[in-house]
Amino acid sequence: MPEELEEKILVMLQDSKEGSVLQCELWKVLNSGSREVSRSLVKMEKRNLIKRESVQEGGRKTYRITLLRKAPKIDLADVSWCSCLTCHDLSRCGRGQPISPDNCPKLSISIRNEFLKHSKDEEIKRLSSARKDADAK
Amino acid sequence: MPNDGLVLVARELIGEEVVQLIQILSEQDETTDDELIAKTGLKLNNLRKLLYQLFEQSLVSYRRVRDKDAGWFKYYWRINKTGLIILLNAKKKKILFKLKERLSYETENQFFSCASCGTRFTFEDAIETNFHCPTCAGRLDGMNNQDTVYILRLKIEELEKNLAD
Repeated sequence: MPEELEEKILVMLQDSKEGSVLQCELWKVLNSGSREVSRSLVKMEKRNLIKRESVQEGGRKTYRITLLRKAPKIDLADVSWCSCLTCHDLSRCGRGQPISPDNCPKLSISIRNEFLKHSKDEEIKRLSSARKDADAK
Repeated sequence: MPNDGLVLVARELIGEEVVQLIQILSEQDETTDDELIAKTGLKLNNLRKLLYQLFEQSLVSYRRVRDKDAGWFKYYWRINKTGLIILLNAKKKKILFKLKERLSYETENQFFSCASCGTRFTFEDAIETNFHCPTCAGRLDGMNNQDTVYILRLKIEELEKNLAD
């Protein structure tokens, strides 16, 4: 099915580091015929999903396929530690209010826990680098 | 799970009952009402209620197609990633503001804590009670809040960088 193939191509481009891959690598990895992949890519280029640029790879002509609109990733790692993320009082919390970030006990616990986690991670890093140094000697 | 963020937000905004629905919707590109009923065991009216709640929060979107034979509309539901990202970024900005407020409070004040119960007081509050805890009468000692300041600065920096990207 061409739609399935297009979806696989999009997923592969989405997961690639720079959002681009070579066409000659694409059909090998997807385990599809080069002709099917080439046809799908032409269609996708017409729909402005991807861009194809002619390049030389190992003396042979191929295309670099670049995803034009990379879907943004949902990442909560930077706020998941903080109690504010799931706090129902967030909209009525503020300085000078009965609920305030100044003395919020839930936020204080989050900060404390994050500091302990951070200290632990730093300690592990320090021990690991000390071990590497010792091994090198 | 690929949609941890979505599950977390949906659970907080609507409730535990939407978690299963989100998980099923995440597995496929598009899902019909009938498939969702078969997989969740929910009644059609309850399912629609949850889906509309998710739609109101911009967490799902749908397209509808008229069934030529029956004349009814058939709904195809999908996760609305763009809506979720907008929602999460707004929430992250709010959290960033709260963290900055807390950082100001931590850097603008000098703190004391009760040697017995551990309650924290600002210098102004401590001087009012003559450096004794109003709850347990324990002695108030100077407190170092550098750990808190350090972690707040680190997290604010990280959040600002991610929001700018």
